[in-house]
This record gives sequence, C-alpha cells and structure tokens, in this order.
Amino acid sequence: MRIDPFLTERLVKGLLWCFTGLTLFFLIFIIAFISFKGLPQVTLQFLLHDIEDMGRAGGIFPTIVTTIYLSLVALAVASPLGVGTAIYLTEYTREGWITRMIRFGAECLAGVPSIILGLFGFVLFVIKLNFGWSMLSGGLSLAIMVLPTIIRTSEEALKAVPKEYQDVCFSLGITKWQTITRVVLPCALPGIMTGIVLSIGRSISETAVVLFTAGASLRTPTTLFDSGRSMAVHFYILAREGLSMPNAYGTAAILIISILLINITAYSLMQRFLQKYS
Amino acid sequence: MRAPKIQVRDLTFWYGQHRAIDTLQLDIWQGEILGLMGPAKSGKTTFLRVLNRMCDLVPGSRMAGSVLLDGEDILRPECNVDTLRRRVGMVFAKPVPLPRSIYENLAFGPRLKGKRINRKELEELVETSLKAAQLWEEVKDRLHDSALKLSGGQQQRLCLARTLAMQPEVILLDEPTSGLDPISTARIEETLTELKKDFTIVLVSNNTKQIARCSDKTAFMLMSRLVEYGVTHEVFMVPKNKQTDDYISGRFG
Repeated sequence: MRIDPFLTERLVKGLLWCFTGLTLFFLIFIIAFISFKGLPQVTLQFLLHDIEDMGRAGGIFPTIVTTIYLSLVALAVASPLGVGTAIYLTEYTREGWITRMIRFGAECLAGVPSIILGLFGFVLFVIKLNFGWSMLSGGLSLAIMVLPTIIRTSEEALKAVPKEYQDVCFSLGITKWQTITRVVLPCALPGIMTGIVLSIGRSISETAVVLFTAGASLRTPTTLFDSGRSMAVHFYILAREGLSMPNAYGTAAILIISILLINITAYSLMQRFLQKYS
Repeated sequence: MRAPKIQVRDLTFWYGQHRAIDTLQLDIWQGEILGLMGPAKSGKTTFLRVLNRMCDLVPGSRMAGSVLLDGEDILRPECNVDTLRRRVGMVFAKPVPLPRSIYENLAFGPRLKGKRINRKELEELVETSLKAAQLWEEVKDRLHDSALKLSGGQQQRLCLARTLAMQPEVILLDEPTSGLDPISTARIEETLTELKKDFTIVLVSNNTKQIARCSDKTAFMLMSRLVEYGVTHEVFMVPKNKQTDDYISGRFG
C-alpha cells in the first residue's frame, strides 16, 4: 500500500516538530527545575559568604572564586598554546601527514574522558611535579582539556579569512608574521574568541578533572598553590554526601545561569563573525 | 646605452611536472609599459609572479635561469623576498581592499616597512599615492570610510595606490581591468600611461586592444613560450610570427 505523499509530508513535519519540541523541553525543564529549586537560596549573603559547617550553612563565595581562578589559569595556558598551534597548522605548514597527525592527536585529546584526564593531572601535576592539590594543577589539567576546542575553533576561524588578504600583504613585501598579526588575526578574532568563551564554559562546569587536581578545600584560594573547590565540585559534594540539598540547588542555579550567559556570548560572537564573512 | 631594468635569461618554471615557462628571454626597460598577452594557461601570470617571487607560495614549484633586477639575480635563494616585493609591487586581477579604511589601506604597508615614519610624512605619502592613482579627488573627504564601500573601479585604483605607497620601482599588473566597466578601465589605462615615466610597468592582459593602446613593447606568450616580442605598433601592424597574427586578429582558439 502506498501512503499518500501529502499525508507523509504532514506526518513527518509533525514528527520532526515533536523531536525539536522535546529537545527544547529538556533544556527548558532543566533550567526551570534548577532555578525553581535553587533561586530561592540565592541571596547576596549566599553569594558573598564563606562556606560554613561543610556547606550546610553559609555561602559559596570561595567556590565562585575557585571557579573563576581555575578558568583563568586554564585560559592563560590554553589560549596561547591553542591559538599558536592553530596558526602553525594553518599558516606555517602545508597540508600533509604531519598536520593530519597533529589534528588527529587533538581530536583524540578531545575524546579522553574527563575522569582519566583528572587522573593524569593528579599523577603529573599533583604528585610528580609536586604542585599538590592546587589552582595550578587544576588550571593546567583544565587547559589540557579545553586545548582541542581552542585549536579547532581557531583553525576554522583562521581558515575563513580570505586568502587574498595574504596575497596582498605578501605582494606589499610584508612579512608573514606581520601579515598574521596585523591582518589575519584581527579578522579571525571573533571566531577565536568564540572558541575561548566556549572553553570557559567547559572549564566552569567540569567536575571530575577539578576534583582530582584542585582538591576540595573550603577556604578561598589566594595563591596558585592553594587548594579550593569549584562550584561544580561543591555541588557534587553537597548532593553526594547529602549535606544540604537546598544549598546544592542554589549552587547549581548559579552555575547553570553563568554557563547560559557564557554560551549566549559565544553565540553572538559567532554570529558577528559569520555576518562579516558570508 | 643604459641597461634594461629587468633582464630575464633562460627562465624555466615548473609546477610539478608541468612546465609553465620555457626558456624565456626578455628585457624590460625603465619608463616603459611592457604589455604581455597570451591565451589562458600560456604562462603569463606565472611569469609575472616570478618577477616578485610570489610564485614561491605555490607548493611543488621549481625554477631555473636568472632574472636580473638592476643586475642582481632575484632568483638566488639568498635574495630577501620581502625586500624584493617592496621594490616590485603587484596589482591583482580582483581588487582586494583590506577590511579597513581607505587611509589605513594605504598607510598599512609603509608603516610596516621597518623604518619609522611620522604622521605627517604618512599623510603626504597617502595623498601623493592617491593622486598618482587618480583617486584622490573622489575620496579625499572620506579617507576614513571603509575601503569596502568603494566601487569596483575605485577599489582597483585603491589597490594601485596601495602599491604605489610602498614606493616601488617596478609595478606588475595582472589583468587589472578584467572585472571593470569600460569607463573604469579607461581611467586605469590613463593612470598607467601617466605613471610610466617614473616606473617600470609590466601589464598582463587578455585584452589585446588594451595592450595595443597602453604598452610600448609587447610580448606574446603561447604554450609556455615567448613567441613574439617587439615594439607594440610593429607587433600589431606587422607581426613576425603567424601565431601572433592569428591571436591578434582573433582567429585563435
């Protein structure tokens, strides 16, 4: 029996609409649920106070500082490395087995489970290099984690810059490095920034890596060698040990809202970049 | 008698296995426009790109022979290509303004030359270059507007001005008017005729009439070889080679 194509058309349309709706529903449900449970906890007190009684009382100020601290260390290390690698891959080598190897390596790195990356960071930075559970160990491990994202987005952004610009620069006798810094990078900047902002989002939400490498100290970290617990870790411990569900949701709400804001920023940057070159 | 500005001797150029230029001999004189014509794939653009070593950017290319610029071989490996390209400027077929203001497009190159240049000198340089490219009158009131807003013909003159701002000795033009309307084309041609006193100009064009109008000497390339070279009106009136005759009169595929 043949089905009427017009009926199929309508069925498919309905089905696809349902899929999209369901996807959207999950997103909205999670955000709404966490906000509903968590936002009542969120007060200025909650944001600006130290953790008390293992998290049953007090605020989450140290976890916010730790989260930002870790992300900044990760970015400070991963951005130059990632953008540098991307520049090397796009500008200084020709497509060949070496570039393919590097790219494949980066892809594999992106596929490493974060718990294993955490273990690696623990063994290398915490034990071997004797940084201890610290902002430095945590930041470096997160840097390794976000490196592939930064490399790939930067590479795409650099590739999108019209080749003609480089021809023009070379024909004017401008050196390669001048061309890259004065023309190529400024054009690719919004795209590169998108990758970096997305990486911030990933480092903020990462739990396993941080738990292994930055520890879970309750104090506010000041130096690079201080331990601290990030928001995600704090949430994990509060929920896991059943210390205080309301405070866990409060932390989760802050976490999810900041990630949402970060992704919106990344998205709008990307839009601007695409508008410029299409 | 003075020596030619550029002497090309036994130049051969390969892209991989393909021989794009075959043992080419050619002299290019200061104060003249050399028109270079030929069908597609005849090697004329490649030749142009050898003159400022832009050809280096193509993977798998090799070359032999010599190209003497003021008596110095520019194909030697120790020749600094960045310095060479400042002396031998190039304008491409498609105008490519950088995504900056008109002023910044011109100031861009001179600023990165390495030598300190003060604001006033830079402004003068921008003005003289724009005047030389006959664009000054049209843009003098909006130097800080985006260069992307200019029309195609204006953009191409901007590219010419940008090359001039580097104060080169030789200017290479690769079909500079191929995408332009007749009026813009006429203006570019006029500009080139004006510029030739001070520069050595090599003009590659598909348009034989343009070569006949502008150039002092004409070279005709076919299948990687130089077929004919001579004073323009002689080449067009009494070509020595039958293939040249066929090409000029349009009997050529």
